[in-house]
Amino acid sequence: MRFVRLILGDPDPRSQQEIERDIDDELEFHLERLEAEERAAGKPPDAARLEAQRRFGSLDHYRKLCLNLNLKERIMLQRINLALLVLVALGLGLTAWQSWAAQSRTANAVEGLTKQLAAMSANQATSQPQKREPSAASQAKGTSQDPPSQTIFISTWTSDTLTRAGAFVLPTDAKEASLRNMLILAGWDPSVPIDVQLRVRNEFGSPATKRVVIWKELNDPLQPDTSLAGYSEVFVQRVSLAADTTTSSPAATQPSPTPSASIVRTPATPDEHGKIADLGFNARVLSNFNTLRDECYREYDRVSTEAGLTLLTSRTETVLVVGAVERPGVYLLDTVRKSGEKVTELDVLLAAGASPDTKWYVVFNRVRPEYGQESRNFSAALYKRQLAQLKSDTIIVAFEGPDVAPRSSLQRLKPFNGSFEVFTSFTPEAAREWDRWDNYTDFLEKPEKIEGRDDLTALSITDHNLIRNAVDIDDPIGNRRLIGGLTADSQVNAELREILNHRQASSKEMEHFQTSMVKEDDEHSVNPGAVRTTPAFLRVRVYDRLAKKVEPIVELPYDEALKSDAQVPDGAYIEIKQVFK
Amino acid sequence: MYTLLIDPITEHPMPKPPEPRPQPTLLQGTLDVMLLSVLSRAEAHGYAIAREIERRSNNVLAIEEGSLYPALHRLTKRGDLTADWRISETGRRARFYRLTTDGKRRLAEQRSLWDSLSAAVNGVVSDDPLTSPSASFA
Repeated sequence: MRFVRLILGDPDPRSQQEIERDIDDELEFHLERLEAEERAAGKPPDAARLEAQRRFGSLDHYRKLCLNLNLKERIMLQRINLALLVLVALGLGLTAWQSWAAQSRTANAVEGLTKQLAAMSANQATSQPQKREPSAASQAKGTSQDPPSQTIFISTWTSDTLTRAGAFVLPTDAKEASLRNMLILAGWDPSVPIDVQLRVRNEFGSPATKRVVIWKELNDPLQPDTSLAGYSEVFVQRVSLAADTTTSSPAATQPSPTPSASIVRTPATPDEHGKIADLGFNARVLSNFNTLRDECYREYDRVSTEAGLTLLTSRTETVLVVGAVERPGVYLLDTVRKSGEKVTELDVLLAAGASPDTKWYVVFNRVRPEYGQESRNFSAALYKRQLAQLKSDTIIVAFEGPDVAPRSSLQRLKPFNGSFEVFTSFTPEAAREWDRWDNYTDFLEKPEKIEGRDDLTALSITDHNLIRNAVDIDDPIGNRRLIGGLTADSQVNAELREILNHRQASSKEMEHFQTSMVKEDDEHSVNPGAVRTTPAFLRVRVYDRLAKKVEPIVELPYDEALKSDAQVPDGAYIEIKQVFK
Repeated sequence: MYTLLIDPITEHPMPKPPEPRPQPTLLQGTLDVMLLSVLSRAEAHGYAIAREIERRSNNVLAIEEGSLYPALHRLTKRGDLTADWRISETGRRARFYRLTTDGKRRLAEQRSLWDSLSAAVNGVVSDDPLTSPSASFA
């Protein structure tokens, strides 16, 4: 039966993404039910979650097992199909050759006969060699597609050789859309020979024809003047110094474009519109990832502090959306809708008002490097299959793309009706200064260990991430959120009591905080809508974040902290937490 | 400058790690027959199956619940089960499994095998000199 199914075809019509999504939904449903069960038994949310995970076992392990099971036959089927295809192609080729050979023999025979007839003729003895007419339609048509009008070039890789991270748009004129110019845009000094590994995509086909997308990894070192015209997207995967620097570098042997080479020494600054005009070619900066993220979160901190208390549950996430959207900014939203469906990356893009020019987007996550970074198409046709659930601390950068997708398809996308709140509106103007991008893969290769926290690796050294992980002492999942931020004060080395008393100026806020009301609006809990009112104890912790220690340097009950003259160092992070005994 | 955080998320003292439950070793293949047996009564999703296994075994059997899913998927691929997505009792979509005709046939076979096997093991393990004939080991 299994063999027959293999021959007749995989009865599972789902795509790989659908299979993955189904497996994720199924396993997570079980986990959530376990967690609800534990909470109904009286456990607090954190302990309930831990116990649920213990009872379930390793989610990743079982997910992988299920995936392998579901895709095993498909892979085997693909191999069989490929083999069959090759056989059929060979068969057709053989038939064609035989046909040609037969025709050729016939033609030869006719020619020979003609010659004989001519020779037999008394008056016209000259043979007229048959002119061979060129075949009528011998020239292969060019590809039916219209080449993309512009190329999106993305570099999230910075090093000594590439000093800028960002997204750029270049016209696809063969001369300008060269690897050399793209790398110069990314901060490359042409006098430094490098090896570059790229991922390129060629998307062609008019809307009326079937679209074919090819991803191609170019592993061999490329010559700088390699034309990348015709590729709609170029993504720099890896850059390294050329292995042999003693041989003449491509830069030395190839004539470099005159304006660009001299400018690279001092990286060009984009103008207010993000355009770098003096590089000898037109390019436009779409975004500087590092700076945008930092600025957005800084703004987010400021606004959230002014807004006062924000009740966050573990079911909310923050997402930064920038790029080709109407409302770029930091979004705070629920991860699950009232209907139980999960909020996805595409939902966030729609909430942010993805423009008709948005064609695809890059998603990456700096706190959780293992999530990696991926680019996805943003189109109605792929919408249902790419319902990737939102993950925490995600950065989504939406890009304009070549005009190969009908714009009407984007209008058919259903709008996002879930609740969300824009914490800050941020206009991605050109970066005011270029920052170095700490390549996240470094964290994977050289994880940074924090004393006393063997469960945490690959921590970023930026303040926000350290703070976030410092708060998560009792929650290894790391689902807490920083909702406070920089205050208006800029006291340095102040006493704890001064800071807290100043903060206590908003007595209503503190009064509310001391009487905790946690609303259970999680529809998966046993009593949705229930409100629990419990007197809370407040505890104050002070972290010296610049010293990157996880343990607090001061920890006191709130009443004692109000009288404490403990010094709070510059850059410290103070946490007031509700604690239930 | 300093950063002030007011975090309303409640906190409890670090919970003690739960006591590990004693786990009897399962023979290979027993999970399959248990799944088929549970689903012979009614269709169910994975979580409900786990609860039913616990109930029927009087809480003696507490398997790592994630392990159900590779087994369920394998049985579905084999044709012993069929599955579809529905809205569960909580309003979330869940995958419900049910036995096929092939599955019922296989369950009957496996039950028969299990009965034979457990009887044989019982025969060895619970050797009562009053009830079984004496034998020499020569």
